[in-house]
Amino acid sequence: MTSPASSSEVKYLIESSEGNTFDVSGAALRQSNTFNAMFLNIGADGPIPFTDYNEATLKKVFEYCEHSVNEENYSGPKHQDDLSKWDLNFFNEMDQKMFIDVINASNFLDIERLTSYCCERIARMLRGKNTQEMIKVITLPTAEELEAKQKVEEKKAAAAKKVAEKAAETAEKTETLEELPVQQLVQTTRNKLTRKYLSFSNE
Amino acid sequence: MSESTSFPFLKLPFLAIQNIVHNLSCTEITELSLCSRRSKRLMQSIRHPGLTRIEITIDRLRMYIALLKGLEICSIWSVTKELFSTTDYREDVIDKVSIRILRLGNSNFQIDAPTQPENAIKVLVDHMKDVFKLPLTVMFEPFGLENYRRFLPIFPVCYRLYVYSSDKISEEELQFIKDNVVVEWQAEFYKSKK
Repeated sequence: MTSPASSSEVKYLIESSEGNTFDVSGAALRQSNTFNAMFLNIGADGPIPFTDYNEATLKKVFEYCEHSVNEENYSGPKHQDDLSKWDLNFFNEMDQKMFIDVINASNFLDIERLTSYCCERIARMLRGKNTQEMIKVITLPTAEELEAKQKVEEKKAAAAKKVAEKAAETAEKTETLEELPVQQLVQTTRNKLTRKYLSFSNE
Repeated sequence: MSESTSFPFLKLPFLAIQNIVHNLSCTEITELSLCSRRSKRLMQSIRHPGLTRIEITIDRLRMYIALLKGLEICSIWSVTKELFSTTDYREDVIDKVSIRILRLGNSNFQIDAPTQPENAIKVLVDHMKDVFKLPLTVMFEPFGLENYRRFLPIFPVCYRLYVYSSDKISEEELQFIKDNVVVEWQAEFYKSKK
């Protein structure tokens, strides 16, 4: 615990799996029922170790807590359509790995609001689907499928690279012409034509 | 995060899975439980609040299984004796029995079982009993059914049993039903309207 000032200004040090520490406000941290049960009454000497989760994940989770500090009291899960723009951005900017880490951390820290929003989001992926479609969603691709997918992606990347190289080559060829200003281009063509005409008339 | 990709749902912590499942309708929970043995086990271990009973209706005209929340029907699975005229059905294997299912709406399903409908009904009822752990209410009218005894193994134990047109079958037959069905709470034997 860093500062013993008024409870809203109290900052706590959080330690991540990398051993890094960072500050989180008491108000944000109090949204975690796990924290409330473990540290609120007895306090914490030094950083609070949440070493099962990395710094990026913890920061993301507490970013949400900091944001929702001033929101009204939590009254059950909101429908996804009722989420604010900030909430939607918060979820949309996460990739799948980060999203899973955030659910795990939020589940461990018992942050009711964040956990239920994350779960509602996953439920949306399953909603209205039949068994076959659900199997596609919940079944992770096997190692072979991943390998095949990777090969296809590599092929695509190689093909795209070839196309890009060809385009660069053609661009280089035309570059000399394109670089000339229009007037210069007209002049050179005129010179060529005059030379041709002169050689023709000499003959 | 894209919502169309696959997601390691079954690897999430149990409480998160429970939270997700509480966001799904009973039809979606049934569909999810049919995905794999693991998903069925998971659905079994989750409490499903709100649902009150499984209702089976078997008579010479209709055969269906309904999942109810009070008086509201959450999902209904009816059995038809005719083969599907469409190809939109799917074939699910439940407990090693293959059944053809046609989804008619959000919570309305049809199963085609021209022969031995009792097999399809039994696997489905057993599956729902396993997943939802709800009491069974049976509305049974043996009169007019060809070999009605084959339907009794569907509900060896039930919470409520209502037998209709009980005066149209013999005393021995009625006794046979009483001997082969354990009723936990209420058994009523109604006579036919004259």
